[in-house]
Amino acid sequence: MLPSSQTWARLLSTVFPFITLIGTIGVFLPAFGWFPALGFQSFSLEPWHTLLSTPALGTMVAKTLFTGIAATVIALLLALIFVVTCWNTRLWKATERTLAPLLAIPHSALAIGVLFLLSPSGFVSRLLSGPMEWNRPPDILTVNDPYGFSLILTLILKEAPYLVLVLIAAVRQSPVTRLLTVGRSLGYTPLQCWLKLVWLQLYPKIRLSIFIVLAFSLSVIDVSLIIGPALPPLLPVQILQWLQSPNIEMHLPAAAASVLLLGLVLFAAVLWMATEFVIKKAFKSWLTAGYRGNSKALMVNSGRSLWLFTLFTAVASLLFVVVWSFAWRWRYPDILPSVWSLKVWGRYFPRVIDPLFTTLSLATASTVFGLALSIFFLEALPQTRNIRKNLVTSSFYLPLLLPQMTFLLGIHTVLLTLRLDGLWITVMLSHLLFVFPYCYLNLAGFWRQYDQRYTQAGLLLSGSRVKTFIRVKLPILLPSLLTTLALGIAVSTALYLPTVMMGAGRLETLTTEAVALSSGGNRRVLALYAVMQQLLPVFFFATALLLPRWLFRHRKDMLR
Amino acid sequence: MTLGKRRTMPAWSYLRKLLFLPIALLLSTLSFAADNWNDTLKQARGQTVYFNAWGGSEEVNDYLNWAARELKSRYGIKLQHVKVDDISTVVSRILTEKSAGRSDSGSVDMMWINGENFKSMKQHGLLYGPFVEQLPSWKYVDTKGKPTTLVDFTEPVEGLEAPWGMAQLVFMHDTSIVPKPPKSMKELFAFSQKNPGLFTYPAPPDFVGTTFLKQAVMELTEHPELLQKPVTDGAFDKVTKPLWAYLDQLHPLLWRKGRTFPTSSTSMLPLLDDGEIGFSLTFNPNAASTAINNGLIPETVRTYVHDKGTIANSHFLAIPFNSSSKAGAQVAINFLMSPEAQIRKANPQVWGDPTVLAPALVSKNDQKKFAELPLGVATLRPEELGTALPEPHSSWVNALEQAWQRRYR
Repeated sequence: MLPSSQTWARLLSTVFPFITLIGTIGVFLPAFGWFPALGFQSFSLEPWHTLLSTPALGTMVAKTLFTGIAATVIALLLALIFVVTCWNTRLWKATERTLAPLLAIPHSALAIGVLFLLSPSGFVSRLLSGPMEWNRPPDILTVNDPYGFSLILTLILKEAPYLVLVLIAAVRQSPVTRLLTVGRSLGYTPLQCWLKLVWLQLYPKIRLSIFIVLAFSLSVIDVSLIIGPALPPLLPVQILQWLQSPNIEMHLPAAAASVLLLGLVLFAAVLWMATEFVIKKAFKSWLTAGYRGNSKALMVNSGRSLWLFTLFTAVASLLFVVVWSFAWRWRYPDILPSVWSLKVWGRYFPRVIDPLFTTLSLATASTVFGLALSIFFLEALPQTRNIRKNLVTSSFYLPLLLPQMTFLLGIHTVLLTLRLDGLWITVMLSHLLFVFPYCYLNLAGFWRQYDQRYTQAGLLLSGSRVKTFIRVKLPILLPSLLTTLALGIAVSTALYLPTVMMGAGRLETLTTEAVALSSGGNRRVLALYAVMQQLLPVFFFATALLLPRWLFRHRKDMLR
Repeated sequence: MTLGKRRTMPAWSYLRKLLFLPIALLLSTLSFAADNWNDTLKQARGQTVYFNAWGGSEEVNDYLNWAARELKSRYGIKLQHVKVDDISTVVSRILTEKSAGRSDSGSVDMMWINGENFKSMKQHGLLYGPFVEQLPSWKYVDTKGKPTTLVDFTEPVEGLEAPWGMAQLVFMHDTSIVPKPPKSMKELFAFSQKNPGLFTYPAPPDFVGTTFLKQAVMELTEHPELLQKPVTDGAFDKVTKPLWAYLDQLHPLLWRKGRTFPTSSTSMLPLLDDGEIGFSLTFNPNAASTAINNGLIPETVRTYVHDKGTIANSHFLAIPFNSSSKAGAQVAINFLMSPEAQIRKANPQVWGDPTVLAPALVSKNDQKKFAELPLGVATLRPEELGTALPEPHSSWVNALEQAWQRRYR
């Protein structure tokens, strides 16, 4: 590559981390009373006093930490159980195939599904109503519960598959079969082999994703709005409510609270690392003590069932969303709608078109940019494993590792001063902030797997880097590019906070509409939006899967 | 208690207000209504009006879709409904814009507003106008019979917002679960003791939830006259003491034992539909009929009010000071206030929001249409709605909400 493009790439690669850092630092100013755009021009501790005198602040903080950490731990355990018990089974293959579309569905759509499934008048309760002789829904807190159990469950349903996906990729890169063979030949049970040999190799590969999940679970807003505790809300929701308060002074404690949120995320991350350290020390002797274990079929089977149950719950809750969109009357305790109708689709679909178009335009634009940038960086940045390059690429993930609320609020402060909020392009760029790291993360794996000898052969035959890239490398990587495209679109479709904050409420996407409707009284219309939220990414994933098959229908080897 | 803590306004801002007033007066006397209106119509053509309004009701959204189509074809105006959860978020955005010096091309052109939000905007000089009394449709407004079209939560309107619809707090009950509804706060408590878990109300600061608090405090306090004055710490404790005693006793008897509350009055409809609760409450006297029509709640639901009356108010349309489509917004508001649009809005099959117009003031033809409006199956006749109680002074809203959150969250 030419040195100039390398310099460019270096320069450009600092833009996103830079913006994120500016946002994170920027939020400290209003947190200490400095927000000239709103007329606050002196530093003070007043925002912190207001924050600390908030009713039930301690409860909110404790619950935010509890839900975030619990969701991450349980999701990771589930993912671990999956790889240990399902390796080399049909369930593994089935999971590989169903995972991508499941992951593509926005969190908020899944939360709506879980709401329909688990609420006291939800499907589970309807099934139980016969045997339990309930005429009315039971008066129990199953969703929006004060401890956030329903929120934790929803997060697990979404994050466990994500960690499984990452683990599957890690398994592919590791010599699992060889490790298992060695372990078993020494008399260890498969379970002991996994825990003592394979897991130690897998864990470092998925560590980044774990921290992404941790930061996300601690700072999630849309899911929490739909299914999280309401009284008091979790800290991120409270921040959003303050930002939206008619009392403009509340901007300052909101900024202070988002600094606190940043502190919570950092605290949780440090806690996590400390736990890693302790576990490493504590289990050292266990690792090398030579305990072979005895194989327990029951454990393996229950592990498999647990995973199957997780997948089933997620898929079932999504199906109820679809059923609700075709229901006209569906009262408790009817298990299925008493009156089916297309009225909801006929009447409300025209209204979905505008948000659908906005969603599509934001998603395609940010993803195309994200893809182009990723390819540029992958090609132009030196592919050596030196520390500086690692520093650059790992800084790409900053927006995923820091709480959205914190740096978005800081960025918003700047945009507000420059009057750049509420524009399509602003929202699109804010989406890019999240779409790009996912594109890069996903593509980097494929780029590493790519066999450089193809390019060498191409160069020998054509003598042109550009030609080789376009005619050899791109077609080989086309299926990966298309999946990444679908992934980017899924990420953008799911984004709530950036759209709401940067869009100044002017840009309506399927997700912002669905979240707004979730507090309304019409479950059928809510279901309609949630179905559209599901359809869009699934459509792109299906295209990503089928298009190469059609394009390469005469080139079987391209489809391995 | 930290009530009403406001930043002091810089001196030049007062000065500007002082200068602005005589100029505005001069302009309004000089204006010749008809000519001006034609000018406004001309200016409005081709403008896009961003209308920020609560978007939580499908009936309202559908109605606004209809209005947008009509405005497009008749006046060449593009009415863009920006759906918001809570209009107060928009007030804070406009305030932000003002503080940031954005005095034109603001992000909002028109908004659905009343009460504390109106007061806050008026106080901060965020409203365009006065413009309302120059609109051709103004002459139909029933200012005599509906005094809340002139005074919004004890705050004089002064032509800064146009009355759009009438509201009164009404309760719904499912007659199959609650055949005989309790008609006062005292009866509600007695009822809940016998039938726990059937009643709840939206968590304040949802406006229906806050209205429930106001209704309760009005019925329970021994000093109702203090509610009409700005709140003070002393008055607050005096007036609300029986309220907290009442709620402390009532909450364990509510849905979910009062450990959580619905987020809005519309989110109570699915609960009512499934029989989780036996009641709902709303500010729209037609809401029950409309919801039955739309298959959202059982046909056994009916409406009732408390014996001593319930709180009533009007809701309004206003234009922010920094709107870039003021002409378009005025034309849109004039249309929404016209007999045609008001008749459609009052139809329970469409939205069922009571009109602000006096049927006596509109044309014979329109009078007939008003008279022929169907009365929904669960809608009370005007005489059954009982006494319309005035809203307390708007400063009570924040005080009540804060105190409620401190106690019950």
